[in-house]
Amino acid sequence: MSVHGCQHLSAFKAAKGTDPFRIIYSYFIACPSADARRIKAKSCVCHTCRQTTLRLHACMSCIYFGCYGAKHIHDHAKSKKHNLAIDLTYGTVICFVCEDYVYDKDLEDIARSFSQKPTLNLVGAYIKEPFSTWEPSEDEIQLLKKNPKRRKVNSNSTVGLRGLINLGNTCFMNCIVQALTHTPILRDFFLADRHTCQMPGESKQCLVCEMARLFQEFYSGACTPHIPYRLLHLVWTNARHLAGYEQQDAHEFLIAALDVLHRHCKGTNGMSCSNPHLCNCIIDQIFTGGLQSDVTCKQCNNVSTTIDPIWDISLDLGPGPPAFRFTNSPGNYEPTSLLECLKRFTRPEHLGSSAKIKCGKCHSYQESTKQLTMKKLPVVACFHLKRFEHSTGYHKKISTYVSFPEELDMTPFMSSSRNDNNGFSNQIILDIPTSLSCDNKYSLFAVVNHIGTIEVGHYTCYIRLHKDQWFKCDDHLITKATVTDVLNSEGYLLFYHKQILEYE
Amino acid sequence: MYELIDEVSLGLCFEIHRASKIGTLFLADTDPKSSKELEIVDKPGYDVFGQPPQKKQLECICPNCQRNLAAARFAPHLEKCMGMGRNSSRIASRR
Repeated sequence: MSVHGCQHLSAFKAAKGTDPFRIIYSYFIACPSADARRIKAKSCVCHTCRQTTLRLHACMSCIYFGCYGAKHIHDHAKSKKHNLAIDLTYGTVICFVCEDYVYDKDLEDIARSFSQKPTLNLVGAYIKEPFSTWEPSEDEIQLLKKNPKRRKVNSNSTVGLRGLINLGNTCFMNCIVQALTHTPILRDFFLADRHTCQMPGESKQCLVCEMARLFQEFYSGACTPHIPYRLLHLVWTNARHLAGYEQQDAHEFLIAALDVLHRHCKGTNGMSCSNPHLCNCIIDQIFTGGLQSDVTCKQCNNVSTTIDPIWDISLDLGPGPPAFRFTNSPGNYEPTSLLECLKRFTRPEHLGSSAKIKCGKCHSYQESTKQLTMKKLPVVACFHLKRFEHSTGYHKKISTYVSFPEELDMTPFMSSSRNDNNGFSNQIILDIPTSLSCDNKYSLFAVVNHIGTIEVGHYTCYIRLHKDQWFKCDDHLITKATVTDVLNSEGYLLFYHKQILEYE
Repeated sequence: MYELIDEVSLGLCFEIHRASKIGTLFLADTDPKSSKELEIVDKPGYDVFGQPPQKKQLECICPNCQRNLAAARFAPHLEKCMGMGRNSSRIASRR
């Protein structure tokens, strides 16, 4: 029971070698160029009925193509006693004596080597080696037969879920860990073992290695809560400003953790990791977006543009001047949805007379308008609703309900939307954008919530698993939740994942 | 369009046929007992693993001083152990 073909194929190979197979395969199955594909298209017709059918077969002993459905290849095999033929769609070999398809290791190896070239010709710019599925060896098959217990991850399994022990007011850390371990692209990176430690011999000091260990813990199927004491120690060692037992801010922890991970991804070679524009680590690939700031001189209309890398978007809540397109009455306006927060974030702001800028074009100090837009969106967009006011001597939590959607289209907030419309003054931002492009569409996958007051509070989070199932993570307690629970929650940190990923 | 579907279906048939002929088709099977073990539980009073609320005190080892201690008190211990926080720097430097 393995890839040994059949006796008839073996006899054929002994007599005529593998050349007949090679020739047919390379000309008609794995065409390496556009010309070859044209030849294939023209010549792949049945020699008996001149039709192009799906299961066309090529005789291995002579030059004959015949259909399977109309049994032309069967007739040919019988009359000429040519018992072997190749299916031209996939290159599988049929033996008419055995009356079945047979699989031979030598021929499969040849097929694989021929198939690589056309694949790489088409996608070689992006993919270095074509994907091939795992094949167990003989020994492995025997082992697997003897051990029939199998764990399969399906939409009803708990694999991927794990509680986290609170180490003493560390719920802020637990929530961020839950969000990160359930970030699909990050999970794929670590489970595919893509991290190479930049501190050889000191993997225990590397936060990225610790993350990799954490993913192993989460996806192991273990159901007792994990104790993230090593993680806490590593973060405090590498981000001293965070260290301390008092309750901390989840957002601050997220930024600090991403920073340490980013540094450890690149090792200790200072320059290359200090410039975020040049960094290519997984953290930057996933979380870094570009925030464009356009300052327009009121005098000469010259626009000065800068683009800053950002890991998250912090949105003001609370009363403020309305943007042009709010339908509410003028005066102080409080946003009650994520979209309204984003509209406010991207509205042109008049910088008053106390903040005059020196214009690079007309060389005079002028008043100006400033506008923020997204130049480049990250794969994972984290929105931080600024619920904690820290004015001098005044600490307050803004608990206003802010609604947020399951699916988000960032198109209206992109720099390209601004550039097309000469600033937003003429543009009407619809609440339900109807853009046809999928480029800027995001899906919610994690929500971190803060319950309580600014003095005494607790963090919990919701995470999405298996496409559409939501779970509530309250330190060590993981329970099933509904999407309604999630969307009705207060919302402090909102994590969105790009729906469609493109090659750079 | 239908030709594409037919072609893809044919590919799938070959895959299964080959697996069956080589003897690796059984790999896709799961045993019901293991699947049940990992099933998500949605009952009030229990977590997704089907466990009632944890009462057991868990322990861990401090990476700094190698002491055994209760996990729920690890953070305050670590703060003092690493010499951070307001009162600990003098004490920690003495160790």
